[in-house]
Amino acid sequence: MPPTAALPNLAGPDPWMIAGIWVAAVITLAVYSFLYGDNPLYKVAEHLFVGISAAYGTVILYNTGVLPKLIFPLFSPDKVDLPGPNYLVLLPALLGLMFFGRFIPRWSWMSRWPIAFIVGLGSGAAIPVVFQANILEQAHGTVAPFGPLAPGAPALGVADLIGNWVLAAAVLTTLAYFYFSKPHTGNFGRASRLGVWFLMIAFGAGFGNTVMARVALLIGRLQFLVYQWAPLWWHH
Amino acid sequence: MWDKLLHIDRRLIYALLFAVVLAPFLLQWKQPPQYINPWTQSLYDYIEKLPPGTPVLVSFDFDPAVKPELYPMAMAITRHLHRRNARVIGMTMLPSGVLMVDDVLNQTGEEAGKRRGEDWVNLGYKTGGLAVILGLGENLKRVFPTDAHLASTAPLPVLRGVRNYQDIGLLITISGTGMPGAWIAFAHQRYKVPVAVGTTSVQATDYYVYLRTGQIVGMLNGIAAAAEYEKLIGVPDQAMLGMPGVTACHLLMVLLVIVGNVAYFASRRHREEPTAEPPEPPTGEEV
Amino acid sequence: MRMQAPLAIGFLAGMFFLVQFFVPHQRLKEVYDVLLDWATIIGIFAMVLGLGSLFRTHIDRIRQRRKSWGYSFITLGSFFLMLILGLGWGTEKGSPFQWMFTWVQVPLDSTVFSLLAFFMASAAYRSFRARSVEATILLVAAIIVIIGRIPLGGELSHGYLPRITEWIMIYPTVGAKRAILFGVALGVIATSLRIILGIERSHLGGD
Repeated sequence: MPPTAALPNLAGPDPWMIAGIWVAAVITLAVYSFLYGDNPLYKVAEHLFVGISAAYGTVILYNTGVLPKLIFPLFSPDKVDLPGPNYLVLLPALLGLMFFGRFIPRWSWMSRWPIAFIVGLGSGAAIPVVFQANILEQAHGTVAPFGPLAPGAPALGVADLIGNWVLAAAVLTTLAYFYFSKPHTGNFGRASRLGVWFLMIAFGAGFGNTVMARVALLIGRLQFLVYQWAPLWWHH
Repeated sequence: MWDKLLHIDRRLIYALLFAVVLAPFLLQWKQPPQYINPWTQSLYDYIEKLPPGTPVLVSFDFDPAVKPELYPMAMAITRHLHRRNARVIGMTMLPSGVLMVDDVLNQTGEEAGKRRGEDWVNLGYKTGGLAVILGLGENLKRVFPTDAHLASTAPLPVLRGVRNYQDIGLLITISGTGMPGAWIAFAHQRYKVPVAVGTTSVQATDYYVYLRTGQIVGMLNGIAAAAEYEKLIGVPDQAMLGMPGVTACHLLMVLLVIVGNVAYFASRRHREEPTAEPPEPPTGEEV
Repeated sequence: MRMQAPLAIGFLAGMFFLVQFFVPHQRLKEVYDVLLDWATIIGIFAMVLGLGSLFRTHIDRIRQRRKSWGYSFITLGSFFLMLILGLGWGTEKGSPFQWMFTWVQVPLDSTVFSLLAFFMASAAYRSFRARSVEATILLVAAIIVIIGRIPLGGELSHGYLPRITEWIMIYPTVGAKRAILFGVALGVIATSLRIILGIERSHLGGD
């Protein structure tokens, strides 16, 4: 038996929930009809998806962005725990409005200002942390296993000992493959070829994981059809 | 025959997949996890050791597209946090995640007898991406002056004493996108908050590099890890329910790859044999 | 001026955030907090920009009677319906907005992405060929991981296959991914520096 969470409460049926299950089932089958071939039912579902998603995002943006960050600080500061109106928010609001300059050809240059600010901010913030997280820490992680064990740490098994050497070899040979300033000949070429093999192992492992991910999405929909929609056939 | 097999109508493959995935549901096949991944165990052990009342920030960075994989994971982790009496601070970096966060927190909170505002809160979504992650490192209530229901965050008991990452015991990001990379780089690297990741199997290979360096304290890799976590907390739910279908489908994939290759090589060999040219007659020059 | 001003803004913002990381002085922190707020507010308008593009595309399609123009009415109609429901009746549990999200948007989103499972099965059958040594290595690794990740794999191999799968994920896969990560990180740093210094201008749309 499936866990209770998966089953609809058919004992005291909520008509809106029953209607919802039927709507969701029709939508699911309409989308799956694409597998047989493109058809108007699928196209309707596709366009519905675009319209509803866009409106959903707009409403959420209004509730979580416009109201607490713009409207409340200006007109209801008590709702956001401010002593008085915060007129400083008008400056970034003005910068944000400049985005819309791109819809008018004569004023399209205005949209560069907020883009420059956001991209500049992201670039400046990224440099030190990306260097630390993705270069220094990763380099340390590659050589640290060859150093002394931390006090109290368990001894490494044979698989781990071999694995550390394999990991180091994989890093160096894959880097050799991506180094295009030197011809891939001789020993360097052999190292580069080994790097390709490690890349193939990584991509194969990635594909293996991808299978699970995609299958899980399909199973999710089938769980809905089997455990929520199918019981309605018997019940009603 | 091999050529026909190679060029089989793809709709037959779709129908076969559909039947194979449906069969375990109809046969009520059970496939509980036998092996617990060490990184799943690592996250479980970390949460088990959290003192009661520890604020834990959970960022549910997923949308309905990956719900079947990540929703069970989110439910299992949140159930565990409530059991440990952690203060659950939910948020999302995707607008399409807001209502799903509410679903998870409402349902698990009700199950555990926890109250909104006192034991858990849904802060909702804010635009800005990187600015939000960095802003949480300075002043959480400045980034989120209201929660997802537009109630002021200032007086909330669940956020008492929580100013920024320094006051957070653990940050968990449950995501089907590249968001964990941003949390690791900007939250953990800069502000040293411990980070754990729950992710889809597609993305998981990208985050294994952070496990060995200690940059993340644990990771749940897809629906299989969600099923393992449900087993660890003793609450079987949708992930464990889905594992028989996953098993059947995986076996089908392997079969398709093997049959496809056998058909390909057999068909190639069959095509080469009739066109093999007879050897050239000797010209007499070799003598 | 039309390019100089944005380049100067990008330089100042980038340099400030770079320097602030190393100089956590209280005054700099206060400016840092304010600028992060600004980024959140500007982000709101960036999201609204996307809507403008959506409307322009579909209204143009209807006006010019382009292919499948009738479906654009569905897009625009459903947009306004959902907008009115959300702004008029709220987004709380039990609201019409939430009903539409739970029973229309979630099924649509989930089902569209679940189609990938079918396409992947078809691709696995038609395209995955062990034509070379490299392709064979890829296929063998994939098959080990596919079987190793399911409970049956553990049962049949007395627990060895999941351990082998995990070993493949932790050592050779991490090694290759780490090398890729080095390259990506260096690329990010180089591009960020080019943006701050104004050498890279593609994000500003050119001169």
